[in-house]
Amino acid sequence: MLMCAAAVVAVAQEKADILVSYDVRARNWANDSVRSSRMSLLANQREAKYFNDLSLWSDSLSSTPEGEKQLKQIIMAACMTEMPGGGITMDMRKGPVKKIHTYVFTSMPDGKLTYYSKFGDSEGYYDEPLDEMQWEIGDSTTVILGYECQSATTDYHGRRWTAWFTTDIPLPFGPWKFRGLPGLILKAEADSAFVFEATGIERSDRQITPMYSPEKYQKMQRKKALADEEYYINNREAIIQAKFGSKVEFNHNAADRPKYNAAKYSLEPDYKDN
Amino acid sequence: MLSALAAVAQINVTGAVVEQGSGEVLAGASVILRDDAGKIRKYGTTDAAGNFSLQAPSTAGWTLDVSMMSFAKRTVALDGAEYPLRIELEPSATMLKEVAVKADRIREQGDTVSYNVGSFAQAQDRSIGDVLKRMPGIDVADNGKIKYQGEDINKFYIEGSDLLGGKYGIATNGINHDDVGAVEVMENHQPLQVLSGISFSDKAAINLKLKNKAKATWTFHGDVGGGYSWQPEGAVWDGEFFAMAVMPSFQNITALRTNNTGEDLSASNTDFFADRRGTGLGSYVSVGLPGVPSLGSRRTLFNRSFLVSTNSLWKFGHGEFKANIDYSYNRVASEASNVTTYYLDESDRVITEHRGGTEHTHSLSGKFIYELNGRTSFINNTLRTNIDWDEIGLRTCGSLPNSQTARLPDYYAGNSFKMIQRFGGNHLVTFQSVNEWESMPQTLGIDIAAERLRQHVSDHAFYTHESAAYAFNINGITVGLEGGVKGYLRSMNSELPELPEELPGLTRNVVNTDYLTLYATPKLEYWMRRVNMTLSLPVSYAHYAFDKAIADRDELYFSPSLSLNWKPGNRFSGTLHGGVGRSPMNLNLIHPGLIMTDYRTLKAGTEQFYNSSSQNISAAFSYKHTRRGVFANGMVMQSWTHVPYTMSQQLYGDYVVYSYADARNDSKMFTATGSIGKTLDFMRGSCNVSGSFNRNESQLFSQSKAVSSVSTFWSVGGKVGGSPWRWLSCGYEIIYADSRLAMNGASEAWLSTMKNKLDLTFLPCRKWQWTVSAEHFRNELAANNFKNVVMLDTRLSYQLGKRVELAASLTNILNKCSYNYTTYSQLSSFESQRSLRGRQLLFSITLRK
Repeated sequence: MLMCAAAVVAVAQEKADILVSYDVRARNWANDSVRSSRMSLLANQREAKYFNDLSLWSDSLSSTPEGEKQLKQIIMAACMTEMPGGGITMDMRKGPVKKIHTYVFTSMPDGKLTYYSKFGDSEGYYDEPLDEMQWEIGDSTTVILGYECQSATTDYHGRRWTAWFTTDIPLPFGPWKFRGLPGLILKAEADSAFVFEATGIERSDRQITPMYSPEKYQKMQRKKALADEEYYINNREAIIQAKFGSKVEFNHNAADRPKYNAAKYSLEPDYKDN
Repeated sequence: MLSALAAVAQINVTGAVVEQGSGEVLAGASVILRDDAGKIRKYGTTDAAGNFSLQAPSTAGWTLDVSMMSFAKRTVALDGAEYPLRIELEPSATMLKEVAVKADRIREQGDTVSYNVGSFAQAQDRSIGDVLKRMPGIDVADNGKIKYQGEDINKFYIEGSDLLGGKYGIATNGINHDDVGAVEVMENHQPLQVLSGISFSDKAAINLKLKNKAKATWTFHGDVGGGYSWQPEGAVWDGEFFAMAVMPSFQNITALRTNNTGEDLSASNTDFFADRRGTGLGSYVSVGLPGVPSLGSRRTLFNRSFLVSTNSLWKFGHGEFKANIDYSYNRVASEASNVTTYYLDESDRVITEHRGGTEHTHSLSGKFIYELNGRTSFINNTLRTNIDWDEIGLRTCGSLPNSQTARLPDYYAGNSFKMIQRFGGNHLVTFQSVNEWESMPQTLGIDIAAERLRQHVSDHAFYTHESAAYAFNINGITVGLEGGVKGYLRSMNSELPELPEELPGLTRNVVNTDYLTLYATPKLEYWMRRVNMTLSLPVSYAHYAFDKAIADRDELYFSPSLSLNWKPGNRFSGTLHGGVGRSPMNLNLIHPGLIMTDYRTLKAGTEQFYNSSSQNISAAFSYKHTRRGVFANGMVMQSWTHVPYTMSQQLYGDYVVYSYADARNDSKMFTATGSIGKTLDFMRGSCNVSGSFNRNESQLFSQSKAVSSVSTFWSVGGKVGGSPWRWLSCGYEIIYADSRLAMNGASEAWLSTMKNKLDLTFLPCRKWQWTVSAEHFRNELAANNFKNVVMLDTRLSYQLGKRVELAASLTNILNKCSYNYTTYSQLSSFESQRSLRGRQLLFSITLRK
């Protein structure tokens, strides 16, 4: 029985071939500016995992009770300022606090990807068949990080994306949910407000560990989850007030602020189509 | 019907992909169909059984690419192919053009800024000190002193332990940068845990976080080099051994270095945190070899240097014991021709001389510390002993041919004990006891005009300082009171040799300068969320006794100061500081008789006791944006000093006599500095621009006439460095400085110096490295009279395995052997012709563990 469990773990944990880092620039609703963040992709011939380093570190610590305690201590130590006379102030911006909730696990043998994230105030996941993304290969070429890349385009979930992939790295993966080209995708963009671009490539034999604490995530439907998120963004004060009974105000939620505009801010605005 | 025809026209390209040799099927291999123009027409991957199937309208001239990570790519021509294909892939490392996946280069967590060492290091860097220089916000001076945002650091830790104290140059010059994962800067670092939350610190500390491979083990590296130099002609050597152990309860760093290639080892031997000794002795005799401005020691130092330092730290419980033992020997030879012009109203006086000399310096020091640094109590006992032995021989030809020898030993022992106890959360009691003893016997021997003169000065002092302090905190206000007593006993004796009769004054000194001071320092600190305000009101009563040489004095001193720090967020910090003060003169100046400082300079002290007063105000700011890698700081300061005496200079034949006379001497100084640095991520580099301005106005009394002088100095500098391509790393640096002296309203010309430095390192492959560097110095000797010097160096190294490196370097390829310059002091100008180190070839081997 125990051996069996160990075998399952051994199968689930594959070693990666490469580690790629991506800079992600996306238009942000909170202050209508393009913000950048850094993501990583661990991949081998069969599967890939797309994640944020800090979130992975934070989630791996939180997956055990001792680790969660340790994480709290680290965050407290960094964010808390002790005032003489006993007062304390907390500034969460100072510490290693998880901000990015997205993980994408793509598996070629299973023909699907699993997307984990936080939609509004609830954590959830959904599966997506890989053939939902169909590419048309173009003629343009460019060089990214020293690799000769070729263009390809796809209409995917409400946006037209242009991707740049290199056949020098024969892995059918890319940043976020991008997959299915005959080479690693080093850049993908949909107008100038959404750009994924590789900033580093390294050989790596890190374990592609499965999702930490998967039991915390509920199964969801993609379009429903995105619609829920939009509702949450537009009504956060009321939702929090209903939930906790206390009043909260967000800086970016003034009454005169326009409602969330999926066509402008969402990576997948197709949930509005119905 | 039509679609059926089309289907018939399709060719089904099918096959299986297997591993060469074993025949094992390969799942997930990438298959690409390209047409005769090389354009991708169809693609796919092999299934679990290694099979693939692609439909194509025609395959004339087409090819099939099959590739997979860890296998060599195969291209199969499809003309005349028979399906299904069987394609064998040969296992082979896929050539990956790796581009380092960078961790953030600079990260910020709480008050700690963490620099990723790997992302700042360049191929030619060796020690962690080389990499520190590239980190924006951190500044390493030529002497090795580290500043963060314009302020000296207050602690240097290795894995959280303060092993080296202020002699951290041993570590920055010794530790291989490859052993260090991150450099952490802890802002507002309060080194005494017991004071945390009670007393504010505006200083930062540095901590080296080692990589795991360098922890819990000994790491060693050694370097041996030998070669030939054209000037001084002969053999040269350069050797280093460095060992480090960083264990949980034990740390050791042992370093041994020797060279005669012009590398100054004093950066590894200077205690950057050393307070001024309470004994306050200074050498009266001053026979120095002339120094060279704006030229590095590698160009000018004719040396034989040796240094050994061993530093250990043992931890037990909350306490630790440290022992630092150092010995250094330095032999420096120097040749110079000088023309000194004294500006006088009737006519300038010119003295020409050629000087050649040798200085031998030995220094042996031991420091033993026990420290307990807890949250409620702090105990530190430091025992320090130091023996320096300095011997200088200097031969002078010119208007007064002579030879001088100076023996300047210095013996010092001191112990300081400090205890702080915190109780009830916010109450602090401190006891401190400092006792120091120092002796500086000075001997000056002069052979001049067939005469042998000898002067001996003996100077001893004992200093004791006992203090107690109490502090408590209520509602963010810390009120502290420190009180104590300082006692000082010093005796100095000197006797002048026979000198020409025209020199006036006494020839003997028997001087005692003793004092007893009682003092109290009330201190008020107000610390709210973003603002810290500190008001300090030290008041002291002192009794000075001079053993009837001059009248005893009783003095009262009060020197209040106020500082204000505002830190609205993580990025910006601003400080305002102001203070006024009154202080006693340097007691070493009290001596009625003449003392010879070198063969033609004599100093007469005062027979008066003076106090001076001063005021200063300053403002400083620092700004950082770690995500963008921007660091900036600036400071302006204005100070006024009022001294009721002034130094005057009289010429008697070829002799210069300095003395002090009653005169109001007011001086005013304005200083402004600024610096801004930024990371350049596209080339893993950084850049920095800095500038400074200084204006000093003072009144001086010469030949019974008042002289007012204004000296102005400004400089700007910039540097940029990085690695734009994998095969090249480069750096460029420029410094431009301008200075001017004005006397009684008449201005001399502005004189500028400029230095340009360019380094290029080529990395054709992993094993070879070739560095070429050029330095250009442009010095203005007189108005619009420029002296240009260009220096070229090169170094070639070969990596013979992981632990061995061979290198050959050729410095000063053009064999430039002289360098001229002019400097101005207050009442004279000084022109020098100085010899430089000539061409030098050095072969070396480096071993690492």
